Amino acid sequence: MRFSRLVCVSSSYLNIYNSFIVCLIWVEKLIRSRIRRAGYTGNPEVLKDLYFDMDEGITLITGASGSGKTTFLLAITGVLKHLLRGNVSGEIALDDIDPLTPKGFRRIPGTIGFVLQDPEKQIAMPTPWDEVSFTLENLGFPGKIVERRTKEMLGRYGLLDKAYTHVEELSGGEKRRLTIAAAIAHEPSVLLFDEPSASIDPWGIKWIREEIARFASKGYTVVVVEHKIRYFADLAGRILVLDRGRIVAEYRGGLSSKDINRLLSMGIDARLEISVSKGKELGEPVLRLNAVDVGYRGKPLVKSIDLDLHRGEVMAIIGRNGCGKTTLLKTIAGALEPLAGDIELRGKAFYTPQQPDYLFLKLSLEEEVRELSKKTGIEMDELIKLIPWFGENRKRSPYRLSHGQRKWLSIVIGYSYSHDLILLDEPTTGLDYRLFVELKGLINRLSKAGTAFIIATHDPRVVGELADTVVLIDAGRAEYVDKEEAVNYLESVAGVVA
Amino acid sequence: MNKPCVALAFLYTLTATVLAFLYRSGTSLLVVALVNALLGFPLGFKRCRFVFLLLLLAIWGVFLNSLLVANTGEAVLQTWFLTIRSGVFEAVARIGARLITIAGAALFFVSLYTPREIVKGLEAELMLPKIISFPLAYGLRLLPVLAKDWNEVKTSRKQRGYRTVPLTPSDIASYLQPILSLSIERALWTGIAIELRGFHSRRPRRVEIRLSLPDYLLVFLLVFQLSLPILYP
Repeated sequence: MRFSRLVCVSSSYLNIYNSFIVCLIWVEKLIRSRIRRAGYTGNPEVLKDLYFDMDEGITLITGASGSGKTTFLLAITGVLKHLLRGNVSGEIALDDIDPLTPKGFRRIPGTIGFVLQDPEKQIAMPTPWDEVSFTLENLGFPGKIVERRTKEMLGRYGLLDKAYTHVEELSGGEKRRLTIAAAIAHEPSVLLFDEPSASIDPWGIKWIREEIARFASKGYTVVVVEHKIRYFADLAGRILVLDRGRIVAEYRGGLSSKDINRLLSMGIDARLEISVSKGKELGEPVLRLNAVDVGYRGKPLVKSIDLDLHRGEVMAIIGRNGCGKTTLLKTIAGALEPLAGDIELRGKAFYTPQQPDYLFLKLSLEEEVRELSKKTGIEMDELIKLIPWFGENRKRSPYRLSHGQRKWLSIVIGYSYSHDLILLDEPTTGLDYRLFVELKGLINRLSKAGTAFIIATHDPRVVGELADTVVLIDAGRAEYVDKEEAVNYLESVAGVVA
Repeated sequence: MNKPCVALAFLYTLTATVLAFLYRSGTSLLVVALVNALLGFPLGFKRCRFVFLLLLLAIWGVFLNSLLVANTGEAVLQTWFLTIRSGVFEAVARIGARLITIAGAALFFVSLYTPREIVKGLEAELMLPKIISFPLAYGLRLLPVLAKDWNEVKTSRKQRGYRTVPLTPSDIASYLQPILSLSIERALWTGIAIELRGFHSRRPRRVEIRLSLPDYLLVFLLVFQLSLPILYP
């Protein structure tokens, strides 16, 4: 624990009798931000007038995509200025260190633990042991301490028996645990989490909620940047809302329904409960699975799957990371052979991967759509009608489109190849409320036209608001579950209290 | 198992590879090839069988090439359509011995240690700078990821009705674009992550090398191979 320092600022002034010394008592904060302006070379004003302090406890920073949440984390750690050649004007202090000076920036790693949104991009070493010891070795810890603490951290996070396993053999949840172990091995005083709920299942979210609460109870300063507020709102002592690079609201002690509506209008999913839509009328059968086993190299992951899907139906497949959701989608698409059973598909199925970039072929959106039109025989104008943001982005590389736009384009590609069945793998990962609503609109539009969807997801929004039917994969079995029950199940697993 | 230290094994492999090119005398070269084959082949047989296949293919290639450019000297083998002369056998023996030396030494090195041990050993024992040791470790971390990317692009191309074997420059470009785009994004964020974990301040940690019996045996083998030109002038 740090001791707060009292800084006395003296000033004198005259009144009719005497002069007084006024002592202004200012408790020093672990994070002090006085950012006047910060941004990148092409966009110098991503953040503007960000004046606030943070002390021990949990602060939740939220905002829609592009509001400047991640840029804020990069600015206060000095990364924006020193690594990304961005500009930051103003003053920042992180545990008394000024990260904007080269000397201060070099001291920052000893003070903070930074957990990035995507564990895949944070893990730099081939094994968990190397990953944790890398932090400690960098910071100059003696060899024996490196060994002892690495062992301790891997033990605490349940990774000791996989210490020398290649990181690619770890599950998504294990990778998330590893990134946290590596970020806190040196016992920093400030912990920064960028979208910690992204790319993990509700079981992982529950675990991370408990960890964050534990850090706060131990006296750490924890900053969580997250657009799905309900996962951390009950833990945070303070919620700051960013919009176009400014703090536009600050909440302490919960959100009223008025606050929630205001946040929703800003594109932030502040709902504490997920709404459940009513089912719709479905068309003729398009897919039937009879006692199908799916898996790799003869080893079944899910056994005896019986499913029926109809035209216009949206089916959500839920279950833990690694339970076999993607394998099932790939098997239906024909990329993998079923290990047993029959798949009756009336028409075509198209699989769109979680990472949409794999589907793109060309270096501009216009070329991509032209190629799509040439290959599928659908008129280019028809395709453009499905992409409302085509005009302003026609010359952009598909790889440089926003995350939401890339997901959108992948669905349009899928639709162009198959009007019968589109298989979507985690299509809403990383999408804020506004983008989710837009994507939901697209999927609803296509399903009304008769296209069936199977969506592998962890997202309760997809289950509650998009799906007509829900299938839960658990312990190698797939079974239909009630939609409302499925939403409650996912939320309760994640530990979210409405 | 008690193993020689990584630095010494690395230096041994490097020296054996250099000797394979330096030695011109038949006997010296054959002895070096024999020593390294005995050292590396049994160790590498289980883990790196593809190296043996490559070696056989390379020697077959050398033989065919020698038939064209070195088929001189006394006739050794005569078939109804071809006469194979002593020059072919000499060329195959000389180049084959070099290839066997290199393969044996390399198999000895890569079979004895895990990639992690190699990277760690080179950094701690040989004091390789972090700008060399880190990319090596990161490469080991990324290899399976790149293989996964490749397979995903392949699946996507197949679905979209394009050939999965990249033949034309356009095929190659459409394979590489997504992989490069994702790799650049990964590299950017990994770079930020490692800098925020103090990579800038990293100093290679020197580990004192304590020689054991396997190290002395390796030194003996190295000295023996270096002294061959004296033994067989």
